[in-house]
Amino acid sequence: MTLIVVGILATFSIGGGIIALLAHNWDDFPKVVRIILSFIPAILGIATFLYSESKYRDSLTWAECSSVFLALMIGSTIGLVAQVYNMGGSFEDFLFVWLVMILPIIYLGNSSATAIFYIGLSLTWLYLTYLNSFRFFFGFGSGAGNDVLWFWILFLGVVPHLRYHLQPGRISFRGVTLGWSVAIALCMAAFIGFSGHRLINSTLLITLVYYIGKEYFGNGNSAWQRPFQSISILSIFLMTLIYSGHGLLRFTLERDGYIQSYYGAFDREWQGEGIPATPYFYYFNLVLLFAMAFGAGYFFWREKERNSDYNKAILVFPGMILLAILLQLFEFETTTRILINLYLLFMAWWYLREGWRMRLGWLVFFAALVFSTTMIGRYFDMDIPFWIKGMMYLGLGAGLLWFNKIYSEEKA
Amino acid sequence: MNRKFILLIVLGLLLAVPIGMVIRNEMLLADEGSIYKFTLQPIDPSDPVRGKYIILRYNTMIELDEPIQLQNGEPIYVEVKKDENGWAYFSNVSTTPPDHSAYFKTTVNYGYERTVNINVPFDKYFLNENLAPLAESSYAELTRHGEEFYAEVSITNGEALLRGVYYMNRPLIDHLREMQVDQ
Repeated sequence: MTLIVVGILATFSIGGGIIALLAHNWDDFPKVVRIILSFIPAILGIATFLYSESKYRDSLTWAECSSVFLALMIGSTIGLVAQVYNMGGSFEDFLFVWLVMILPIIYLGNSSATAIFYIGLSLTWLYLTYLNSFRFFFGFGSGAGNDVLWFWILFLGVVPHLRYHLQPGRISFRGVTLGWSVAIALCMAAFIGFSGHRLINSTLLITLVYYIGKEYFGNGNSAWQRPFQSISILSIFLMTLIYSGHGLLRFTLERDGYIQSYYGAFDREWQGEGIPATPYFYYFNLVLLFAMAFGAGYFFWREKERNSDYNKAILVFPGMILLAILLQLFEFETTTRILINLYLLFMAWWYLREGWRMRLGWLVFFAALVFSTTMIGRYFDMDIPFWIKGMMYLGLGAGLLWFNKIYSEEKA
Repeated sequence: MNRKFILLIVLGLLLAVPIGMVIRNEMLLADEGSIYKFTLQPIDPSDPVRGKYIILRYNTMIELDEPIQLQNGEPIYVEVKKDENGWAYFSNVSTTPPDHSAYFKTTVNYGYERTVNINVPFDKYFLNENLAPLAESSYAELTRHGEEFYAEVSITNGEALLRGVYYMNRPLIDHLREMQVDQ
């Protein structure tokens, strides 16, 4: 394992070095020489890959390293050709072409390191696409549109590799490492990877990630061995914390077209305002919604058959979000916020109880983090008299100190 | 199919992409009739793989005769014309290809009533990492007289490729090298 990890790090370093050397732009050379130079990385990558295939067919280290090297060198070559011809297009356009070219290398070398690199690069593509296409014009903000949906198509490309290497109940270093990269990518994409029904889609996705984790990493012994569960719990906390703030749930529902905005239209392809840039692709949001709902239901059912002791903080999360949406649709703004804050308190209590029951210090710490972050957030956006706030926070501090006392006595 | 055959096909396809890029670009550059000159202004960012470049700023605001409802990011066709002095400008946009060859395909940056701002697909000029900052720091000199600093672009049937950037009718790169020696 050490050999593979060090080998991959070395490959990234050498590959990055070659890319940087050629990115210097050797414009002293004639164009023909520069074109020939551009192909050297790809030829070097292919030669290394073929050498690994013929001489070290059974070596995992060689397979992983030569695949990563080929992926990097192919990127370098298309980048250099684009440099020689001053081809325009944004960095994310370049990344997209590179990603499509990396995909067959994952399967050719059966390389999980290349798959992780591909997943990381896809996520980078998603965030760049989202951030770079933000426009503010006449006071109206409009988002990335339907382009972000391509992330899911890119992600589908790596699913067969994941299916092959992730086996239910089998914990391996490769599986866990792949698991972490996939869980982080999915939960980070949950926040910006949709152009419609954002709130429902992100809720379903994070819930689905948790239940897939129960299927594939259910018998992991530590938080490290349960990547899907760890990341989805953290994402649920972050998502709920964001929507517990003043006006943020309403803002998301306005962008989804569920509520009329105070300020006018956003990018509402679904309402047919203007000529939609990609009208049919928008409905891919709905395809994803139904697929994730089905997936979450399926994996929940399988979990239910195995184990009746479920995580109640996860179980009530989708229902709580649906109720919050309904309340917000009927303009019960305060009730919605109370509901979300009650959920955060319930989450803190649940993990405190579980952490205490299983004697897991980090879970207790997580519960304290949920509780204190919620309270800090409310200090700034709750419109109640300062003397009540003061009493509340004194009580909170005393409670935490009391908990520390009990916990240290228990540990002793 | 055996593994060796698949291996050769996939690796061949990986090489075919950059080779295809070279052939397509060379064909476009060989077409002398497709050359247009645009006046511009530069700024200097960097790309982790392709290296340093200057962003070339064109006059991307187009006033339309008829208002068209366009979404940000929507694919469009931009027509190019030449004024009486031979300088090119973006004259019109449409959602379908025009019936002549002087147009390229791009996307809407933003649009409002009869005004459309377009994204230009030939706005990057890759330079040696020592020359790119020099181009940016000489910004005032390069743009002092608008028509002395210009880009030559091949445009035909939806395709567009930057041929070169010029200052006072000489390649910008030669001018920058001279400045580098003087410093």
